[in-house]
Amino acid sequence: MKFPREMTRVLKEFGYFDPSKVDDAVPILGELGNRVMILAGGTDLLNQMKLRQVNPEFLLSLMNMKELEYVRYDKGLKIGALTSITAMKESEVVRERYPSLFDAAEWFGTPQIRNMATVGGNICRSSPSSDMVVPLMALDGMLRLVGPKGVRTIQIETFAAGSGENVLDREILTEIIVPKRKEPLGTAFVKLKRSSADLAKVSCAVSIMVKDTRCEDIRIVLGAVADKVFRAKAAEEVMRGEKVTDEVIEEVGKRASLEAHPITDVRSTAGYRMQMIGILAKRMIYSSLERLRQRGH
Amino acid sequence: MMEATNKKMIHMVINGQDREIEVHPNELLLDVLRERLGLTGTKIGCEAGDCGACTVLIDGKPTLSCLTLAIECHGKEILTIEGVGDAEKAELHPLQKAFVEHYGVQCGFCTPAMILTAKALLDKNPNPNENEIREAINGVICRCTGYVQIVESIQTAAKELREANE
Repeated sequence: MKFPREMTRVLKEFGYFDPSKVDDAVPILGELGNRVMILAGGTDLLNQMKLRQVNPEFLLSLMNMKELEYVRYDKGLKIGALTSITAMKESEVVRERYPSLFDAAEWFGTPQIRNMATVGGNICRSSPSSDMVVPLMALDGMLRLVGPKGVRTIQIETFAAGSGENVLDREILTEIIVPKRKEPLGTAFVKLKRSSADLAKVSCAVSIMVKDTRCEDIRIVLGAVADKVFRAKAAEEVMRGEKVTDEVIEEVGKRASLEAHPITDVRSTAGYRMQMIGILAKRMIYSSLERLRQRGH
Repeated sequence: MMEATNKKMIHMVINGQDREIEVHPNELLLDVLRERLGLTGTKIGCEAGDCGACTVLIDGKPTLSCLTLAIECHGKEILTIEGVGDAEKAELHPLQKAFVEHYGVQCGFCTPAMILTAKALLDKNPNPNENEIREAINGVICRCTGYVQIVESIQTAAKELREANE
């Protein structure tokens, strides 16, 4: 992409659908395939269309699908794909039980962008930095996809295939599920960015389970430092099963950056990002542990 | 399968007035407001969602009109800067008065967005602290003021509105 970006004020013409039910959307996706793109909040798609990066013949708008707007706790967290980031931020169950998701909603864009953008849209954009994907992956999130061939539920880790690419096959993401865990979880998320509306330089989410001063399980997820959001599994291995000490956490910090492939772009340099990965990972581990302590564990 | 729409008569309530207008799907709300309805108080800035100059309130929520399709505003209530205060009676809203008196306006380009965003904040939270004000306006960029006087203007207006409501 060259700079300065060439933007055209007027969007190209397109056919427009706005069904009110998922069942009415599926045949449209089935018949039109990649001639149609899905419009949720529009904060990214309309931008791409102005830059002529994408030129869909048709847009399928989800704005009438009120059935996809919800956040509820029911044997785990169930989030409708059209839930706005503001709604995530204002949800009590999210703030109390899944603070890393609350953190991500707080760090996300600006108030206007949060009012418009949706959790599903952020996931389906499959950007290397997807703010909502990072903590959801650290929570073993699952995605419910509905298409002409039926319904399937997949792990969020298997959804993105690369920058801007995912496994959707004429399907629509309807629900995000965070499975219930027996043990209490400490979670935290942080995003390094230049300005409020900016994408991440580096982002990191941690989920940790501690039993008798040992780390029973841990997830460390990094955003914006590879072609997709990923789990730093070698770093996780260092901590899993070990006593929680500063030395172990220090080692985790060193390992976390080894698995990343950050680039130099307009937002940051590869070197700075590499340095920050370890620092953020350590900070998020300490924050997660602190949150566990605050809840009495 | 449904038929695709390529033209729709939409109905919106803009600044308290019922408006009906036929739009193509590719028309942006920003352009419909400015070009077709003559409401040029909403500004064209970056057109990419970064500057906030195009902010309007849709159903009370600050929204970027440069990234909103007009066709998606069917049935919605929209407030632009022209709807704040009473132009016919030449009465300023306390926010507008405060911005004038406390130097919250220099070039004025961000001002419509700042005022609308501040109004949305005060409608929800009549007594915000400085942090809450700064958080609420962090989606609107100002190149002139350094934000200090904008925050002071909003604090002044908030106080005046609280006292008026007691």
